[in-house]
Amino acid sequence: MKVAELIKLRSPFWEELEDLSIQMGGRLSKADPECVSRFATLYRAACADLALAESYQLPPQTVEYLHRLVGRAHNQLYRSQSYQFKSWTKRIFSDTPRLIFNDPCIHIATILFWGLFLIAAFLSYNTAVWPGFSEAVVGVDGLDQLRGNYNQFGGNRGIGSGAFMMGYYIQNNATIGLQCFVMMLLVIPGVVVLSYNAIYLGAVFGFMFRHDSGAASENFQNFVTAHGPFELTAIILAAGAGLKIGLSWMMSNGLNRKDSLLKTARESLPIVMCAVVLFILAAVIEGFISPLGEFPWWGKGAVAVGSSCLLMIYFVVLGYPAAWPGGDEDGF
Amino acid sequence: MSSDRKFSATETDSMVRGIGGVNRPHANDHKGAIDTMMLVKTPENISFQYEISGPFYRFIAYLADLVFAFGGYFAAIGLLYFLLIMTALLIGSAIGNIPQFFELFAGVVFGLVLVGFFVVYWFYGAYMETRFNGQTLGKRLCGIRVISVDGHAIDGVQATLRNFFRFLDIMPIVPLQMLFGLEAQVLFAIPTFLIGLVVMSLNRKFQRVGDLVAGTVVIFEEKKHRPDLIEFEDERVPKLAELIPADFVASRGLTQVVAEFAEERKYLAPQRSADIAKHLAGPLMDRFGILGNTDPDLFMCSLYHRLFVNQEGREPQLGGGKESVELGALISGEKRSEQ
Repeated sequence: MKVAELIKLRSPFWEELEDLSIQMGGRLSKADPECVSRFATLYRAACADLALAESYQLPPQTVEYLHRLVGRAHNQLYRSQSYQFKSWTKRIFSDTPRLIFNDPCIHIATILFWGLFLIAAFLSYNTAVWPGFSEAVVGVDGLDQLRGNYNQFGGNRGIGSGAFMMGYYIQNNATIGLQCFVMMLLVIPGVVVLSYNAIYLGAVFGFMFRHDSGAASENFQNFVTAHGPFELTAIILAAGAGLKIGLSWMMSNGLNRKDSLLKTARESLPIVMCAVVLFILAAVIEGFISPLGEFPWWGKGAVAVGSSCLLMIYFVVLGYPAAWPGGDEDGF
Repeated sequence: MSSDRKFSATETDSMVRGIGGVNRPHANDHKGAIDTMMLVKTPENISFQYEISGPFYRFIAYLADLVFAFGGYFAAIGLLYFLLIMTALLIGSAIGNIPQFFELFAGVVFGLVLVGFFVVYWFYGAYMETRFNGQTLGKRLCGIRVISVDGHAIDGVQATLRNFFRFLDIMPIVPLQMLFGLEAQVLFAIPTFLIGLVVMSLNRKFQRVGDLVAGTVVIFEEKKHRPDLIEFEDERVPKLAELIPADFVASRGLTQVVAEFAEERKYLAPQRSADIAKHLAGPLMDRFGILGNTDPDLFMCSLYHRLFVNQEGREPQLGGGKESVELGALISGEKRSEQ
C-alpha cells in the first residue's frame, strides 16, 4: 500500500481518537461505556500504527504526530487514581502507627529534640552552670518581651479571638513543621532547624520556670501545659519523617539511590500528614483552651494528660509490631 | 561493476551519513540522548515519546497558578469580608450591639483566612494535580502535564510530595531589605528558585527536587496538528519521479532526510535550498543516470513524491523488507542495462 493511501485510510481513526481524548478530559468513569470501549479500540489501533510506522515508512512528522496522539490517549486511559478513602482506615490506624513506632529516624529525631530541649532547659534554669545561657540564645530583648507578654495574662479571650489565634497557630506552626520536613532532605539544614527550635524552646522553658520570673512564670506554665504534648510531638514527627527521606539517599540499603529515595518518600508522607493533623489539634487547644485565664490549671493538666494518652494509644497500642514485618507493605 | 549498482538500504544510509550532519538514528533509538524526549513503554508493549518540558514553560505555569490560587483566595477573602460586614450590620443592629458581634465574627473570619492561606500554599497543587490527572490550572494553560517517570499518571502521594518539596526548590529566599536596605519590619522576601533551577539543569529530565523525590516528570501535551503529506504543484515532480528506478529502496535514514528536507524547504530561498539539496541529490542523480543539470531541489521533491506518495510501502510482515531489497537488486541490473 502506498504511504499516502495508508495515511488517508488511517486519518479518520486518528482524528476520532483525538476528539475522544478531548471529550474524556473529564472523568473516564463518567463517560459513556460505548465511548470508552471505542476509545480503547482506537487507542490500540493507534498504538499498532505507531509500532509499525517504520515498516509503513511513514514520514517523521507523521510519526511525531502519532507519538503525541498515543501519549495523550495513554494519559487518558491510565488516569491518576483519586484518593482512595477505603484504604485510608487501614493506613491511618494500622500502617502509619506501626511505621512510626518502628522507625529509627523518628527515634533519632525524638532523642535529638528532647535531649537538646532538656539540656537547654537545664542550662537556662540553672544559672550557675552557664551564666547568661538563656540571654545568649533568646537575647535580652527577647526575654524581656517574653516576660512582658506573660505578665498580664488571661483576660477573657472570646470565641472570635480564639478562632483567630487558632488560624494563626495552624498557619505558623504547621508551616514551620513542613519546612523542617522539607529541609531534612539535605539533612544538615533540617537538623539545624530542629536543633535550633529545640534549644530555643528549651531556653525559653528553663527561663520561664526560673523563680525570678515572678507572675510571668506561673502564667507561662498555665499557657503551655495544655497544647504542649501535641505540638512537640508534631515537630518531632515532621522532622523524623524528613530525616528518613534525607538518610534514604545517603544510606540506600542496597537499593539504587534514586529508588531508595522514591520508596522512602512514599513511606514518609503518612507520617508528615500525621504531624500536620497533630499541629492542627494543638492549634485548636492553643487557640481555645490554653489562653483561658480562669480555667483551673489542673483542668489544663488533664487536657495534657489526655492528649498524651491518646498519643500513647496511637503510637504504642496501635503501633506495637504485632504482625510486623508481616508483609503489610502493599499499603504504601 | 554491478555491485555498486545495488541500492541496498545500508548503502544509502551510509551515503546519508557521509554527507554529514544528518547522522540521526531512528526515533526510538537514542533520541533522548540529545533531545528532551522521554521514551515510555506501555503495557501494550508500544513505545512512544513525550517531550519533556523545560524550566521556562513551567515557570510561566507556576506564575499562572500563583495568580489563580491566590487570586481566588483573595477574592474569597474579599467576599467573606463583605459578608462579614453585612451580617454584622444586620444582626448587630438587630441585637443592638454591633461592635461585640463584629469582634466575634471578625476573629472567625480572619482565623479562616489564615487557615486558608496555609491550605492554598501547601495543598493547592497537590489537590489539583491529583484531581485533574497531573494538571493544575496553570499547567493546563501552558499545555504541560505531570506524569510518573514510568509514564503512568501520578497519584495523590506523588502530587503531595512534589508540591511539599517546592519549598526547597524556591530556595534561597532573599529578603527584600537585604536588597534595598529597607526597614527591618518589611518582611517581604523574594524566592530565587536557584536550587530548583540548578537541580533541573543537572539531570536529563528537567526534574526539580520535588520531582526527584516524588518520581515525576513534566511533559508537553499540547495538541499537535496532523501533518499531511506534501503535494507539489510543479508538474515536473511526478515526471522526474518516474525516472527514479522502480527498484530503488531507500534506507530509513534517507527516507527521514528526504522528508525533513521537504518539510523545511518552504522556509528556504530557492538558491539556498538547492545548495543544501545538491549534496545528496548530486550523487543520487549520478547513480540514477539523471542529467547533472537537473535542479537538485526539484530532484529531492520528486524523491519525496516517489517515496511517500507513489511507492508501494514495504510489507509490514517480518522479513518483507529484506526480500524487496534482494529483488530490487536483481531487477536493477536488467533495467540499468536497458537504459
